Amino acid sequence: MISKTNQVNTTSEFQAGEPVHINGLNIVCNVEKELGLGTQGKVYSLISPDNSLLVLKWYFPSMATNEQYDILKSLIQKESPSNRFLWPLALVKIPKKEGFGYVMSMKDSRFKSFSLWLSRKINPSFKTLLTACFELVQSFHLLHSKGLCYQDLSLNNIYFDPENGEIRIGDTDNIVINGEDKGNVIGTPKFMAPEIIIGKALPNTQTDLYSLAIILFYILFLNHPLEGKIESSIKSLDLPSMSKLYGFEPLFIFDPNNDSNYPDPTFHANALIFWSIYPDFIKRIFVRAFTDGIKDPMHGRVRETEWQIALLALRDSIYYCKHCGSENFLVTDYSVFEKLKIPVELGGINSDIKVSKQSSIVEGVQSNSACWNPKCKTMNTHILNIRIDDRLFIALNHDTKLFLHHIDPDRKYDFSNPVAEVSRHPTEPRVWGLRNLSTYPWIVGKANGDIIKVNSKQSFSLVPGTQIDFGTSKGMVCY
Amino acid sequence: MTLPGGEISKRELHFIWIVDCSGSMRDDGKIQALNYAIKEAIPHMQRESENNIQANLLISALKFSTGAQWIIAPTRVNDFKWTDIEAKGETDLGQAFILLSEILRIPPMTERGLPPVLVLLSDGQPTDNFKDGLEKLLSEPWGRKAIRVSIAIGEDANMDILQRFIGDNERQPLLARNPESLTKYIKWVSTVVQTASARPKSQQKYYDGSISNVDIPKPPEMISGATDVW
Ligand SMILES: [Zn+2]
Repeated sequence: MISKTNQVNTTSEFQAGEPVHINGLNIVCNVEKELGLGTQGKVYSLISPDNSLLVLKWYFPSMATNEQYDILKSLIQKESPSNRFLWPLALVKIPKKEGFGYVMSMKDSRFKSFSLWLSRKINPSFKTLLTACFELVQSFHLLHSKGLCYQDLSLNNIYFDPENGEIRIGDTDNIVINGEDKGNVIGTPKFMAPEIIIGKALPNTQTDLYSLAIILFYILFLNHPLEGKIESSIKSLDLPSMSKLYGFEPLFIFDPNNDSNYPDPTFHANALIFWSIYPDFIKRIFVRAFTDGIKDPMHGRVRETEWQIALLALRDSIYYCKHCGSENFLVTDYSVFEKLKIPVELGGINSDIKVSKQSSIVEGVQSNSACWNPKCKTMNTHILNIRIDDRLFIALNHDTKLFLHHIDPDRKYDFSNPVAEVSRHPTEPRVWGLRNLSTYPWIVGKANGDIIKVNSKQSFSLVPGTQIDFGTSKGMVCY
Repeated sequence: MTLPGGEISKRELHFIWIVDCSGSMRDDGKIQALNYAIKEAIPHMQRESENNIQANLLISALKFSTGAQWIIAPTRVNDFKWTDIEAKGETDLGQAFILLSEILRIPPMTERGLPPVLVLLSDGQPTDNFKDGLEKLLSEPWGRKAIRVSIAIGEDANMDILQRFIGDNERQPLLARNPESLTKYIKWVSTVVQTASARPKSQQKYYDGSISNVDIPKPPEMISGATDVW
């Protein structure tokens, strides 16, 4: 280079090593490195005095608005709804630097982007995915119940641990009080509710619910719920065609009354494969989310509490194929599920929400109890399960644990400590039992009529017909 | 146990570098700065595309000086390697546009793609009839739909022509006055713009209402006060 260059003016940027005074936390950190460049600003990792993992997001001058500043200030005053949110911790202003930024916790490296799952670069289990889905729904329920709205929910700002499904939610700096119409963003294409795309609404709690349903469908079906034949007929997916597909003429790929956007087996095989594997009750709730949920944004959308019940019921129905070990979902012809009091609006058995017919290419995979694994297809019958108060049932696998959520109707969603686990007889490895991990004794009625007491740390044999009084509910072992 | 199904189906996204290698690029180390900047951007480009659930990114490159030639055929981003180019000859931009127009149709483009990204880097004045070439390029539907970005290397570049290539008055050519800003702009196009048509980004509320093919995020905000010139 002939001309010697001056230092590029970096008044809105940071160099490695630069000190950052975080008055709100009473510490001084140093910039470690630039982590990324987004549409609103740049993100840097920080080296902190106590080695806590912190990142700094610094806004571009045009994004560093007074409104954004006020949003951050109010978020910092409120507490984070839970540790799942990477919440703003402190505002940062620096003399001679344009604009402002904020500090938040950095997510641990065990949390991965869902895009790695959609690209099949990681191999989580159904159980992990359903745990992640449940955590997402639960976290947004918590956020919304505080009157807050996320506004820009997409797969780009959520992460999960592929080992156990624990999640983290990033980009929390657009969270505002619902209805205040504050903030810079209206959402992310493909995740935005149709009413936003056509300009009839700004982000609100109801549009968050729509984005959430899109995310759940993406995670469980590896396909966008509106990308079927109509999408594959588009040669170049540009902005006008996207507005039509996701905004002006949205049509669910499994709409029971209109098959013109049915999945194209060449491009949407995932949707067909997964649709053939999941039980009807979960498909019904997705049908509702993308039919009524599109037609009626105010009243037609699936609520978080409904998703919670459905996702946990699906997770509890997982059993391992006895031949190949694949995770399957327990639905039998005489299904106890049919007798469960699943509300009609949740797609219960009396619901008239139809589920569209199976595609011919995957026909036969579904049905009753054949393993979905194309190389296996073993018929799995006599899957041990426990039915609780006609409220729910849980498939009993070698690694199943029961929680207060299952046995105490007043402690729904409490998964903090297991109260029971499937155990193996110490000398008779073919005999399986259920071990009492609670501190209270269970009263167990054996199939032959005998009544026994099972104390803490003791197990009883899992024999169909056995009844257990957990104190807060009653269980029955089924086959 | 692996779950059923496979990778989510992605659309093809062509990202094409169109690079000026005329003799004037030899001055002031411009061509070296360009070679350096593109190599510097590759890992960022690869990292960005890893999170991309919409697109299979294919990168290619075309150079023009006296005539125009493809120097890199469409290559998956993870296999992409930049070979340094040398500068000599005229500035046959029109030839480059004609060459481009020949591939921006189906086939060789796929039936199921995303609008391609065309990045033009130039430091000077075309020496051939660029108008006919541009017309030919824009007569192809994929040429019209393409996201067209141009970067002027140094003050001598013909900004008017770079603007006509973009075709959208809302966006201006990026003027790289020094190697630092060239590196920044190239990094920006290869990460942020790479995904404009593929990995949806948050949209700003105060959208100007203009209908374009793809919503392109704003270029990096940089202070243009640097006094040095190439
Ligand atoms: Zn099997």
